[in-house]
Amino acid sequence: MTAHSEPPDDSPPSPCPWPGPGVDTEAAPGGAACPPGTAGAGRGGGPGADRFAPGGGSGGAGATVCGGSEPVAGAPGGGARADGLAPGSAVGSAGAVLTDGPGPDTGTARDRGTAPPAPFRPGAPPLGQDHSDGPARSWADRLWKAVEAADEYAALDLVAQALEAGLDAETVLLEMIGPVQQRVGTEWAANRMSVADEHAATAINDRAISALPRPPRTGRTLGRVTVACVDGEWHALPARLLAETLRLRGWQVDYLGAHVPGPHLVAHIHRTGPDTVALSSSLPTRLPTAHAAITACQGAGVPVMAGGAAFGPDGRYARLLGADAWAPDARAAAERLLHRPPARPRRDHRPGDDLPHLKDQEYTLVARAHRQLVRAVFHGLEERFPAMREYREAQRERTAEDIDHIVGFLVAALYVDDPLLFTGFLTWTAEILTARGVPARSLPPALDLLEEQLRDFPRTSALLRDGRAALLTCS
Amino acid sequence: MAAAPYPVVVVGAEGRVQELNDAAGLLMPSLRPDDALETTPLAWLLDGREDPGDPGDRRGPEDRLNRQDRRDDPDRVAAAGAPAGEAGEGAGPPRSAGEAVPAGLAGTVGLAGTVGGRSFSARPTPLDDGATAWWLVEDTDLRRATDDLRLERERTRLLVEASSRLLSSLNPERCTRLTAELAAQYLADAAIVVAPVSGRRLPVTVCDHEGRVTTTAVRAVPEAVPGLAEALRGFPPMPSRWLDPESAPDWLVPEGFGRVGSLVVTSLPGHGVAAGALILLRRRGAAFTESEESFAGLFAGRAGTALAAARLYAEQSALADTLMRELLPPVLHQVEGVEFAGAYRPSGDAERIGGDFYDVHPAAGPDEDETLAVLGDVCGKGLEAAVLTGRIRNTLHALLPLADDHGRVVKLLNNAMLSSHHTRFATLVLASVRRRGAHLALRLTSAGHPPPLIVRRDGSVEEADTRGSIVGALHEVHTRTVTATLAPGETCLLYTDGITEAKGGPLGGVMFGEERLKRALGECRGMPAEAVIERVQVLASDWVGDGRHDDMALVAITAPRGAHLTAVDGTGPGRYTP
Repeated sequence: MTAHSEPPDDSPPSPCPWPGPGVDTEAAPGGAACPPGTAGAGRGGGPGADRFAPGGGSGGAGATVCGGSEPVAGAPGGGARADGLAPGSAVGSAGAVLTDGPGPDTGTARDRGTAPPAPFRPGAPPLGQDHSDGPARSWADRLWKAVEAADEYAALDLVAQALEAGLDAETVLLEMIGPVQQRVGTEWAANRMSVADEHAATAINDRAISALPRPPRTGRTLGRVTVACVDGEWHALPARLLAETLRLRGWQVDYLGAHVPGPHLVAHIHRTGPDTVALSSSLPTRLPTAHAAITACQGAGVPVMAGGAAFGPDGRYARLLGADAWAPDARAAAERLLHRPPARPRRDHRPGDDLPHLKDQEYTLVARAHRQLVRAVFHGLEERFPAMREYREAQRERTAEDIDHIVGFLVAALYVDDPLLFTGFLTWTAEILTARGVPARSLPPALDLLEEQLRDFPRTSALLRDGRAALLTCS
Repeated sequence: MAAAPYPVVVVGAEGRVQELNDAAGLLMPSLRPDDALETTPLAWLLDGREDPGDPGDRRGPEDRLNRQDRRDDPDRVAAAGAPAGEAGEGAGPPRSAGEAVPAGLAGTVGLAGTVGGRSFSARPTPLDDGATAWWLVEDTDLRRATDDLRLERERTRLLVEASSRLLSSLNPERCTRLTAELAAQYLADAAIVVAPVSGRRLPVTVCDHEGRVTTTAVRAVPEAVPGLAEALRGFPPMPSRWLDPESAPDWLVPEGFGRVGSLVVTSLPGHGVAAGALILLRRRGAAFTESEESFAGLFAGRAGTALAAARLYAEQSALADTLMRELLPPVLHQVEGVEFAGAYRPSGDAERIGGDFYDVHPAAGPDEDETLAVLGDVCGKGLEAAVLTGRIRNTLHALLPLADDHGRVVKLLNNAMLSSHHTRFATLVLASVRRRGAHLALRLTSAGHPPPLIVRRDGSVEEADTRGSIVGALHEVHTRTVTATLAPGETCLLYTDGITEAKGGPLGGVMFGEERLKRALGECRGMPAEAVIERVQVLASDWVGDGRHDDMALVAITAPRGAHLTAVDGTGPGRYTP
């Protein structure tokens, strides 16, 4: 670390000036459970109930094995989803550390009542907006109650009843189960649900999907589609909703689940020769990986349709990374495939063509220095805030994870050359922290330290300045 | 001028020949002064077609290769160079004299055209009386060489493009379609790829004159098409002119194609045997030249290689799939009211199997009243370790009737492994599960393996106190079996050291470790088995990030919450017990 400067705000030094995202267990900005979508539009993006991937904030996914899929990516017993978040309850909330001194090691922030749960998206309807008045609305409300109570059996019974009452499978899928999953993310963001609860809810939703009737085998299909999540992407539910929707509409679908490494995806394409690959990602930090996957599929002669919050609410990153199509939600994806199937990829396409700004090497150098940067910022914070040294190991780890997320989003923003991706992440994190009673002023020191490390990189420095400015306006 | 070494023709402003020199007379014996230009072999001077200097660039890049190809015939050069027709034949609409030589062109710009099958560049010299002296400079050889060069460039470009597109896919169907498409686009009006015959039907992929591709199996024999049986056996192609287009069977001709003018049948050479045959169809009036036929052969060589590679890959991957199926970890479900979930991640991203394994066997023990879950780790990684996991899993399967005595199962497995030629050893953990009302009774035995962890309802995490020797290394093995009870919502987790020894973390180089695992599990109290697995798997995967890691395997055994008789596979609606 180089010289150390005072934190930018002039408030009196707090007993624990880096309480921040670092300490709160579930408040880690990694946000992974529900990244800010992109470009700060996570909030504005409007959660379609049947998002291909959750629009902006919604939580995860998670999938169990879906019939017929093969266990790629080492998730045979159940796909999975992750949130990349600090583990939930064990560590206590930052707010508590800040205000009450070291708290006990157990209990979620909610349990301990550290902060009044503030809604993450004030004004957003509790369920998906797109279908809030549809006939499925009341069913979705009832399913939510069952999921919230972690009552798998009640949830499965409700799905069966809804089908008996005349809802078709697609409506159940996209207007009953989809909105509930959406709400899981919202509730998590508002600190009304722990990460563990979220996993449980996702598992129940996943079983509910498995309970839906399979479309009859007709022998005739509209075509063959491979549905997969990007390597490192554990939010499988949006992809699963798409896979099931396409199946119901008569496509032959190979659903590969969460976290599909590139080599598996390409090998699968060669073996099965699909018409299209539908690639899902909700974490913007996976965009470089998504780009590699898109290019690899196209290299194998198969067009790629991208979907999920990672690609931006308007699909801007899908276009940027050269995807052949983009869809905002499962229904739109199905329509697109039917009426305007993506054409065979351009042959002369080279990944470098998409992103000329990468020539300045800033992305490469910063991405390669990821670990060192996290370490440098971590030790720099310790130097600035000696209280941090007194943290318990788990708290220190949370802090390191939070820095890790900040660097991850910085790298992603460099890759797509869009400051909104970085500022959106920071303001979203600030809101998440606020919901947990943690002041967002804990973030700027980390940005300062990063900037000290990255002074020689003009594009990166500009991003960090944008980030600080965004935090100032939102606080 | 009369003695000038080049043919010179003076054309008046009114468009009539005024004068010509000896060389011009030799070139065009019929040319007389006072002839109207449009009736002479020099009618192309009226077209005002500029000579761009490089005669090769006069055609648009979108011109189809087969069209250009025909120009390769010297007799046809004229058709290409002078669309108005040579020697006055079929000259364009007569123009008024004033337009004969546009003012701008009368300056320095040359025109290009042909006379008697020879190609000329005409250079104008304006004369005082408004007439123009046209100097004709022959460039037949240059033009022909340039045309040939362009044609070769086009062909090379096509071959490169064909190769890169064909080689991009290792899927045989896609490769076949692509071959038909490329051939129809560049070599003919329609193209048919016939795959090697299997059975009584001919697998046929047609790309018709409108670019539509269809694949069918035709009930026909190769002998129905002249030259096809030979091509499928890899014989050199018969010259197109030997093949009677009328003999093409109906199934060969796409709907709406019209009558076939000529056809080429050529072999798609594969690895040793033919990968199929390529049939090219042209409509009437556009026969294949010899040069085109030989180029079709070059294309077929590329396509055949790509097709053979794709077939080989498909065969090999089908073979690997079949062999690997037994080695892949099973998909776990609920079994007799017990939730099981598992996850597996091999060390290499490109791999699907490794040295960790798990299985869940219902109806184990002498009375078939228990479920046996096994999770283990063979020393080493990759395929070799995976093969040994297969042997161990088979052996354990055979020992299921003895599952009421874990120690005996481990001893017998140890003996079996010692007597095999494998030198690797393994660690494993056995968990026998029996349902007792809403509770689960467990017997747990570790053989050199990290002991199972049990998550209680209050979030506390216990380590099962079982210890034992590794298997496959020593003659004597000892194990200690312990019992445990799971209340509804409690979970027992079996895991391999790939989880706890995963190195990474936000700061890098830190082991995930047992403490972190226990902490994570503490948050999983009351969660369904899948959710527990998902949580741990995600934490460990995020921990290693992009770094290297060992194989990872997890199995969760969970007592379902609530007093339900669950659907056995966990996918049906639940039923409440009365």
